[in-house]
Amino acid sequence: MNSSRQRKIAYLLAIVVLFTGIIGVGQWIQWSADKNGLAQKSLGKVNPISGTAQLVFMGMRGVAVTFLWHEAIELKKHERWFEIRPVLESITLLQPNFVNPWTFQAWNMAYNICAEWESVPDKYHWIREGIDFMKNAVETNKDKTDMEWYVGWLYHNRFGMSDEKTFLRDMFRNETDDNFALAQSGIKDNFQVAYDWFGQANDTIRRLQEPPKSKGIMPFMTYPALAKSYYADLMQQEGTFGEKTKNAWRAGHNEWLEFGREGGPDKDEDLKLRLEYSPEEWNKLTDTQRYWVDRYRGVVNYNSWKKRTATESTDEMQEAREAFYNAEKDRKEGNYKKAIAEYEKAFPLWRQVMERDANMREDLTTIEDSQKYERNYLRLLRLLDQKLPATRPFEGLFKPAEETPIAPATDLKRDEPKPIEPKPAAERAEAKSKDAAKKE
Amino acid sequence: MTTDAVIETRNLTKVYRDFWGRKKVDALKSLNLTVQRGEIFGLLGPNGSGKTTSIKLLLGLLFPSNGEALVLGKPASDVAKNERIGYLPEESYLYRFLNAEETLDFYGRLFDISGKERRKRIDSLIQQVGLNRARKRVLKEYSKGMTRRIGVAQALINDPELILLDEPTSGLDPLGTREMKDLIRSLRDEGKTVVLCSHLLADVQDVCDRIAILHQGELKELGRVSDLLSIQDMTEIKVGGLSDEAKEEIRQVVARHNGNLVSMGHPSTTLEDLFLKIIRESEAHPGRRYLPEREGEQPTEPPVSSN
Amino acid sequence: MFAMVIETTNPSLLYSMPHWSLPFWWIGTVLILSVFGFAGALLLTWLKTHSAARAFQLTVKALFEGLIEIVTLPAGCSRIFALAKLSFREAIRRRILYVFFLFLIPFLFAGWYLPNSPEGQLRFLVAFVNGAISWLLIPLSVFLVSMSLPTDIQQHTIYTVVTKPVRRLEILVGRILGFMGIFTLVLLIMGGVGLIYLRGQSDATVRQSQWTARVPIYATAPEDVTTANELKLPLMFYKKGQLQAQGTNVGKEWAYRSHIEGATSDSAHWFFQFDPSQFQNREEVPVELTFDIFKTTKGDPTRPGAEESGVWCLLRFVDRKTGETVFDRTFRVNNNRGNVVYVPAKAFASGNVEVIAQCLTRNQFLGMAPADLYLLADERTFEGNFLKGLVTIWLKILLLTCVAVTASTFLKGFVTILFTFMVYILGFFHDFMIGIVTGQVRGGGPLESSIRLFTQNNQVTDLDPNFFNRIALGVDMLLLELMRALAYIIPNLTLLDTAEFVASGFDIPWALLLRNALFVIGYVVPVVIFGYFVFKNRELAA
Repeated sequence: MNSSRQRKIAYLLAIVVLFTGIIGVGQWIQWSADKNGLAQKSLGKVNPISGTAQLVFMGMRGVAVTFLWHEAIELKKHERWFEIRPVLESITLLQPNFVNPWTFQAWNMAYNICAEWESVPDKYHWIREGIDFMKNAVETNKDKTDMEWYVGWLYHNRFGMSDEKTFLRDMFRNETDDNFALAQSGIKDNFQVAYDWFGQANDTIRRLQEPPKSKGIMPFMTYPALAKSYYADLMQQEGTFGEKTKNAWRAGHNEWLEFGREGGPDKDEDLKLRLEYSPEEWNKLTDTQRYWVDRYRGVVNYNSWKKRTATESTDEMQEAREAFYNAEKDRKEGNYKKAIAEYEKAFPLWRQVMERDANMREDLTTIEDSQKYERNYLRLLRLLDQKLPATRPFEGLFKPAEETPIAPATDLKRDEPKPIEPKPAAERAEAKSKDAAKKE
Repeated sequence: MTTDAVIETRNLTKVYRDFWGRKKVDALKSLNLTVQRGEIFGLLGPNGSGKTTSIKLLLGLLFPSNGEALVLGKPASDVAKNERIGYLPEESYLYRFLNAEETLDFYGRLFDISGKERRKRIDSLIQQVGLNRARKRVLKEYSKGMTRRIGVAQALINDPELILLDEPTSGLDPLGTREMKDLIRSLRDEGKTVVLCSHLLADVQDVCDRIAILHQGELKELGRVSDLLSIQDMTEIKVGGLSDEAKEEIRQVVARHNGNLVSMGHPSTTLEDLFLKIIRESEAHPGRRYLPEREGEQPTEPPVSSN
Repeated sequence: MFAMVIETTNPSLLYSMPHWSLPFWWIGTVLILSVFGFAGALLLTWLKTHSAARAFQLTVKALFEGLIEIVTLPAGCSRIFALAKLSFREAIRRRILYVFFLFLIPFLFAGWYLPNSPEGQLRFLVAFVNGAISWLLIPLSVFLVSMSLPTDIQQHTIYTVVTKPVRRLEILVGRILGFMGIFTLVLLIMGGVGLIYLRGQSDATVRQSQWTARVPIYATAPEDVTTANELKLPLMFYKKGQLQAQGTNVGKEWAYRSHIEGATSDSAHWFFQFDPSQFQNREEVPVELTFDIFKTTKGDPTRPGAEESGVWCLLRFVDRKTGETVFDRTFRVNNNRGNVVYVPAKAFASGNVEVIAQCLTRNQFLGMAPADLYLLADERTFEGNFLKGLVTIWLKILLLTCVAVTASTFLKGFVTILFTFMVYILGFFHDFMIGIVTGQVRGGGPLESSIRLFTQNNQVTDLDPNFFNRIALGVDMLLLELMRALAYIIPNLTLLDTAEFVASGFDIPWALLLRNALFVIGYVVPVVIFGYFVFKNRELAA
């Protein structure tokens, strides 16, 4: 009797102690989660179902997710495409704040599953599934720059750069769902929508002053400019010329300049570089900084894009492009005489631009295009038994490969400045406090 | 082996073993009993003496470790015997989600009683045990006494020849006990055999014709209640209308025989006294059959060594 | 997309009745098992009584009595009915019907997951409704049934029952019937609600294409044609001048479909034998097919019309009695999309037809499986098919109920629940278990695979033959033998899944239902009899 009462008191005490302990630990976890931005409410929109699902599985969440991943892989293996989406939704309900499940599966739908389909409307459907999925990810996760960028990438790459892009972009323009297809610029175009998303990602980066995780900050931040440039490029390829296209190129050019002037944020002051400097500013830079500016320009192909966007927006270039486009079109349709006339109209304009712009002359795509036009023109002449010109239209314009000087290996090393040695953290902090002291 | 024996046990033994087959308890050691048709037979003993085990062995709820039990001439494990048996368990183990009618209907169906007959019996039994007003209530809501009554009613649903009652009066108030005893007697009067086991001695003293006293799984005493409870070396005389002279004369007679007159006649001890005496005796000489000093009278059953 | 995936070389077997010898196999198996059971019982009794002669006598007696009780079971039908009614009432009074409201909860959320493609919609909805029913009803039944008998024993209510002239087998059978009664009721209510839900949720396009129950005629293996290595198959591939079981392997992970190359003499041949009278009154018969295409070149993806290019296929119907081509059609095949070819009914007049498929597009492949091409003999209602699907769930519950009742004759309530769930879960991994014990699944036994797990050893190389590993392998051999026994005792529950038919819009064949019913009954009868012998020979009082 007595001992049983003692036992009960002991149990009660144990319960109280453990309970208080658990509450304490829980509070601590909550506090540190808040501090590190890991608390559910600081991560993004909280989905009530997600919460319930996680509760239901409690400690078994990992097991359940493993099972669902396995299921998703099996479904894909057995080509049961239509059943995959609900499984993926379940995975992300259980792990709403992991980046990889979202990106991996969005990629899975937009690329792998999409490739299993033959007709373009089907492909379009699966790209859209992937994008919608990724948009859910952004909604559930606040301030995940990589996710925002990824939505833009899917619009940019899947609709604008795949083999079927002509058909895909056409379908995109006829999309009835404005939420999906209409950009802030009011244009229904995949690159315009991609531009919005890339811009959003860049804004987040500037606001948080934190570099993205998936790639280097410079390449990451060029995407708005890239999207605008490709938009103009695709307009040309699809046969739109004149003022509209020129404006598109100008917009692209401005985008590059803006990016060049602003640069990317970096916590390290020494590395906080831009790509665009006025001559006075440039003179003030140290050798090391100049080296890095140069290197970044190379990485994102800055100079080339800057020049190309400027060149493409000129009148001669537009005229030449339009003439070549018409020439190719006429040639394919069998209007050979008309085609020859268009070619002959385009060659001098083109040559003029090329002679002015060394950068364009070295661009491989431009060289390829030029050679194609030249070849097609000469073939037409032969076909119609016309007299061949004494010199080829682009004779001497492009350097033959063997004339390009090959720099000796030693030359490469000679001018290379020393990269910045990473300083130990303590030293760096010291330097910073010194700076602060100086300012005061 | 009289043909009129309703229950017969031969060397009935039950040993409880644990999971590994090791012996835990000798619950019943070589019980030999015969219950005759039409009598009220009481199995008495303290808790854990083996009386409930005996009942369960008789019903086939347990299987004997040794020996055998015949009920109505059939082995205890034979289901067919159940047709003529009524059993009231220790506590009324009934389905608490059924009401009185459904309970009796259910058990009635188990006896394959035809629908018409079943309804008739249910009505009369509910009347008999006095549950008419509660016949539609589920057993969950019943008091202990009411549960006991419905238990009795289900034991009688098949109009059995042999009724086994396990602690029939436990948990009943004095009035209920009275009614139960009246019921038991009336059953005997109908020619049925009743076997009951109890540790409430006063309750069974006046209903049982014969009793067996068990202690630690052994049979300690067996006989007619009247025989067991009379004291042979005493005489009780109760006489009415005797004159003072006659009384004086008797006193003198007693004095002449060196007697000490307390009162006249054979007084009874209570069953409780006998019971305690047996228990004390049994604990002093374990394993021995209790033998009262009675002149010229043999115990009804020969003593059996219980090895 | 039309065809349902049937991963067997002979899908028409699903539509054929079980072989006449089946009951004899069953009886043989049961007899062999009985011999083992008898030997086991004998051994146990011998250990208890320490006398071989007495043990033999007792066991034979128990066997004899048991057999008589089994044979005379129908005589106790009114008692069984009473016991069944009791269980039914118990379930009702314990308010189990309230789980029905639990059943409604998931329906509130299902819409969140609904795929937006019509092809996926019905499949998802059917899977969802079936899942909701199974996931609620199966645990419910396991819990209810497992606790029932142990509770009766624990609370001693069984005393008042077994002291009546009730045979113990009647107690088991009555219980099973009573519980099955309540489960049937709940299943029907849930099924009804599920069907209404399905109708309400699926949109017009779904109801047009999927809201049906197709009755296909699949190809069957011909008697007179074999492949080069003497195989008789319903679908054969002509390749390198001879008939073969497989076409070209294009290297897909899932080798369900075999491919034929375009613009070559390669072809695929299906052989159909059927009763032609069923097409007598019809103008034309739809032939539905779902081929896979595999492209080695894309061509110019910007050329006009490239968005719907596909691969060209030629389908020829040859009457095998006359050898004449009775119908042919050329059409374009697209990935994951079905085609229908309407063939004049007179082409099928002989009831013996060969269908030959060839790929016409150079450098591209067409892939096909036996079940990918079929004659659409009839279409039945979706609702009826859905009901048939419920029958399968019912059979599954019957099986689990019987297993639980049997287990509860010798196990405590919670142990019974665990046991039954174990049977249920292992039942779904039946193929996997068989794979492990036959060595088809790599990784070895339990110890070997844990060693490989912890040492991150791959599955292909042999384990280092050191002392511990050798011991582990030895123990594994023993464990695997145990597993082998287990694998053949656990029922293969994957057989009892017909949701795929309903979801794909295919009529569940009666033959398949019959097979499933026979499978369950054949499993359940010995199980219950085993339980009966245990229950009969156990003491119910402590």
